[in-house]
Amino acid sequence: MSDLNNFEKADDQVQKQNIQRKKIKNKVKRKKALVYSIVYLFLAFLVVVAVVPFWIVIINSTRDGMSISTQGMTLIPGKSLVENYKILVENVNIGRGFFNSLKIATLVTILSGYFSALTAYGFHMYNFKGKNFLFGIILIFMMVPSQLAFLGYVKWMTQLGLMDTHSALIIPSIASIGTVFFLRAYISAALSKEIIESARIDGAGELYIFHRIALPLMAPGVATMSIFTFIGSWNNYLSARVILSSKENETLPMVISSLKALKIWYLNQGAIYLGFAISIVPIVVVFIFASKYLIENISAGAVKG
Amino acid sequence: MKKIKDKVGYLFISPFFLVFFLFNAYPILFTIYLSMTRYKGFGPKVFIGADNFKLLFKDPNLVDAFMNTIKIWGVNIIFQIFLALLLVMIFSDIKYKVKGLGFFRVIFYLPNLIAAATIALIFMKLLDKDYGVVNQVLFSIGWIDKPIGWLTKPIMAQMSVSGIQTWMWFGNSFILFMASVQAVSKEIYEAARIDGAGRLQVLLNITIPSIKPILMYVMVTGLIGGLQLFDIPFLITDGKGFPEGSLNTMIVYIYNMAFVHKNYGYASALSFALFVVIMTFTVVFTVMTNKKEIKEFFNNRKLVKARKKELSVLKGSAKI
Amino acid sequence: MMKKLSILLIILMLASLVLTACGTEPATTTDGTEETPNVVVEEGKDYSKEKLVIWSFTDELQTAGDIDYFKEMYTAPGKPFEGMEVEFVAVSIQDGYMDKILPALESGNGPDVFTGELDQVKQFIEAGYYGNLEAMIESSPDVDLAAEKADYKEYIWQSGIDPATGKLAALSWQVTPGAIFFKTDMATEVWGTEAGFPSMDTPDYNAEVSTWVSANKFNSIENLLAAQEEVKAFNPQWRLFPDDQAVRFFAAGTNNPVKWVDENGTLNPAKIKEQIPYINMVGSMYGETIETSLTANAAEWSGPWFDAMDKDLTDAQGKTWQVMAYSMPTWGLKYIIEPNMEKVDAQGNTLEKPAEDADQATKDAYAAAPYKGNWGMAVGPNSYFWGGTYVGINADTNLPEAAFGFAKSMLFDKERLAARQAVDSDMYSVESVMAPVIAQYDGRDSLGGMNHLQVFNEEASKIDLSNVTIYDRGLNDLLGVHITNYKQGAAGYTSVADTLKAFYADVQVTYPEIYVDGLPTE
Repeated sequence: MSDLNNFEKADDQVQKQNIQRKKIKNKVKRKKALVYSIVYLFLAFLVVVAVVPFWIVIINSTRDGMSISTQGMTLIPGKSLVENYKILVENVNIGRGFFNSLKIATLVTILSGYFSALTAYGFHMYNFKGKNFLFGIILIFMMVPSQLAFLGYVKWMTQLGLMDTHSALIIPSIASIGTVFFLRAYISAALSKEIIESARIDGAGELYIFHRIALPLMAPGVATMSIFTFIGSWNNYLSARVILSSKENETLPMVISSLKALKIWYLNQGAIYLGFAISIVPIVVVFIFASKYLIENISAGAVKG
Repeated sequence: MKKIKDKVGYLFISPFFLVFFLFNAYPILFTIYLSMTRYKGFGPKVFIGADNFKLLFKDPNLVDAFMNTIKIWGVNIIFQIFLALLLVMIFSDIKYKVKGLGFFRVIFYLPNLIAAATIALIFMKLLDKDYGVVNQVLFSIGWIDKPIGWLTKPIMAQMSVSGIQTWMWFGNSFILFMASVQAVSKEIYEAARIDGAGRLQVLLNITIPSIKPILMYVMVTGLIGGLQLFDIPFLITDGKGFPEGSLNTMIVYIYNMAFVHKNYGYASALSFALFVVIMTFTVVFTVMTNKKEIKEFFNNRKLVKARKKELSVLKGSAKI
Repeated sequence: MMKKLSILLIILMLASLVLTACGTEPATTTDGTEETPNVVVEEGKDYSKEKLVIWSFTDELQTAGDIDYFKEMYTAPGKPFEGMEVEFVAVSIQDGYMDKILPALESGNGPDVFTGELDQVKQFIEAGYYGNLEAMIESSPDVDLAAEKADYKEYIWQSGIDPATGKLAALSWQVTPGAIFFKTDMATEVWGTEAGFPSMDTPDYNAEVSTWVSANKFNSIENLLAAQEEVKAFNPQWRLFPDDQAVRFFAAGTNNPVKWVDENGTLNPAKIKEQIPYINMVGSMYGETIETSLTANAAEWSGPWFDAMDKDLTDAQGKTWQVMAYSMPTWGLKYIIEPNMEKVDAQGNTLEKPAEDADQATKDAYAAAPYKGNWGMAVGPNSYFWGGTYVGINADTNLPEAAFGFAKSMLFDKERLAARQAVDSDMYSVESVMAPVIAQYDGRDSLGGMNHLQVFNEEASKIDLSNVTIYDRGLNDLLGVHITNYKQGAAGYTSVADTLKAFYADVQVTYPEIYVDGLPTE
């Protein structure tokens, strides 16, 4: 009997313990849920902060000027997209700006990628006299901010007759110091000298080897740098503003910044916002396709640094 | 055969160096030359030696531009690092597994991609005193009863630019920090948890030390970037650096000196001053983050010297 | 509130439209189409292969039909420059007109013809970018130099002369003198009891009040400041000016200002002394709130600034304020003030302005209604001008004869100018065009029938620009920055002396070639 009693007691205790455990578990669960919801709410808030200006730009680009200035912000798109586009192109040649920026950014990216690879390969594969000295020069100039060259560059372009030409913005990309530096580090990991040697034994020419063997092997590194180069060139404002003067040469950021001086800046805000949207959307699309590359690369830089 | 092959190397690097000397090195030397002249951007260049550099020490705007940069940078960097660290804490927590790192990294990086020129214009619209979305919203929820001059009051303008900078860069810092934290092995975090370390302790003892170099990097590049800030303050203030010169950064000042006031010589001297400041920060930063390596380098040299001495002594004694 | 502001904005936009384009409708060409202009043409040159490039900081040349007129007269079939392409580029000042045109000119790719406002023109002339217009006039078969010089307003002709050669380099068909437009009814209440103030039954009342105010209240910097205090004292809710931008034209305070840079080529101490009363006035006018300010703190071109033209200003606390006067040039009356003046019905009651979405009939009726006629036009301590487009020819142009053809059609084709004036009713700098217009003028309704063109004409004659230097714009800008800091009490600015010291520090680094030690600080 007493045994049984004891048994019951023990059973009771186990049950009590179980209940308590459950309670704690529930409590923990509830706490967990609370923490998660706070964390995700915070993250959602940051997402809103990061995205809301773009969202406003895109929504407002579909609304007419009057409703933007009188009704304020809304999350619902309007119906004036086509109308806004008409007003926009009546005032600025955004298509030409877009095309010019695309042309410059593409050429800059190609030239920078190709010649940086060529230079990095040259430094890696050959032991010519003065090699270390020349690479030392690159290292030193990597530290010099581009602003020091700027005024001299502008005056020099004037003397060369390259003012108001896209060449003045494109040609310098042949000497992209940072890209050469990066690719030289990349090449020593990605390219074994044995492959090159065996190609030589097969009698392949040096340039042929570079184009057919080395360049494809360096391609991922070139691609990563190209994304940065493209975005940088696409977004460049200061030197484009100073170098380019005629309307037909204007780049997209120049066209966008000229919106401020237009009569439609206050009057037809929808068209202004559409101008912003046109300059934003392509870069966002490029980014969405390349985001993995890009973020991995930024991350890799962090670990190395 | 090998010798000839190596000479081919010159061909590979020659396009780079041709363009480098023509479009990079020469313009730098040309700027330095211009800094020693009186030159209006047209007409004659009068050589005046160091006169422009003497003026640098009398120029109150130089100090102002620098202080503006420090203020804009200071507020920006505090918020940027705070946000990035908070995010790192969230995503590196052992107990709570927060999902979607990949997604959030992409979203938070987005503001960094847009042309600063476009961003300046967008925020001019959003922060417009009378017609901006921000004031409209604040009005409608009743937080303010008169419009706030986000871009027209000196302090507000600086803080607005700080805010824009934070918005643009916190995602970048977060990605950098997160990568450094991920490079630390998970076991250290596990061990800390088993030892019963609190979150704050983990942050102070593991996370921050592991990201210290990159933290320094973010701060210094942010400062250098701040010194080179142009597009946003220039466009927001119509190039004037107003209100009360609060957005007059170095590059805006150089731009106006050269292209508005037509004093190319002094503008070139200002570029040189900016270069010196940036170089100083870069060198200080390099020394601070690579203390160990530098110490080792000097120790090695000492050792080598000592060794050499020893050897020479030995040699000397051997002679005897 | 928002809606109201947006309406004002539309007005503002119309205003800026005016700033960039003083005439919006192309002036139709008169019967001149049939005749062929008499110009020098380079023999054997095939103009159909050439392109004349024209740059301007406004799109007025386009909107007023000047480019079309030139094409019609000079490049159409059978005309001297048959088949020549004409390219017109308009880059606004805010868009960096100077940043763009200077490098283009220096590299030799500059436009054949380009325009500028006076201070830009001074820069072009100094750099030698404008060719010798006077020589071209002399060699032109049908433009008489002496006659043209006599026909043009003196200050306009004078301001376009290249000091290096003493020859004309640029010229403007416009003349843009300014005045102080004010509400006569408010002025009568404040000063009506003072000696000499015209009585209400004077026939030319608005003109008489304007003359009295010009002579007694606005005639010096000291009086201008006192007048503001009197207005505020008379009624604490009244202000003379909307904000201190309205007095910036009177910084010199005299029609014979001294040069910023004296004959030694250094900063002129006398000029500093000349500016001090103005700095003091701006300092006294400033107040953080409207209560403490001598102005209504309504910045130029802002919504409240327009608002105050025909109604009470309401601030955030719900207090109401009224503004008496605005400083505006020729184009300001027609495009800025008149559209915002009160209109009345047949009984003299003020009409309600129709809403934005009102039907056309209501709007038309309002447009047709007469002005209340309660505005006068006085002159300040000194005559001034604001705006104006000068035309000049690139010294290196490959098409000097065609470029001169354009300048000729813009400046010396009097029939065309008269037709153009009839459309935009602007003030032109050409006596032969303006004299008949002024003579036939029967007064401006909005100004109670006052002949304001006559006043403008007199003001334009008083302007003397022989003392303008190439440094004026830069130095005024620099000083303006420090005056703003001073009036707002920025750190380190407690006195005029501080302000001047800060200004000198700027001059020393920005224009070291004109800086000297020991400049006055009081």
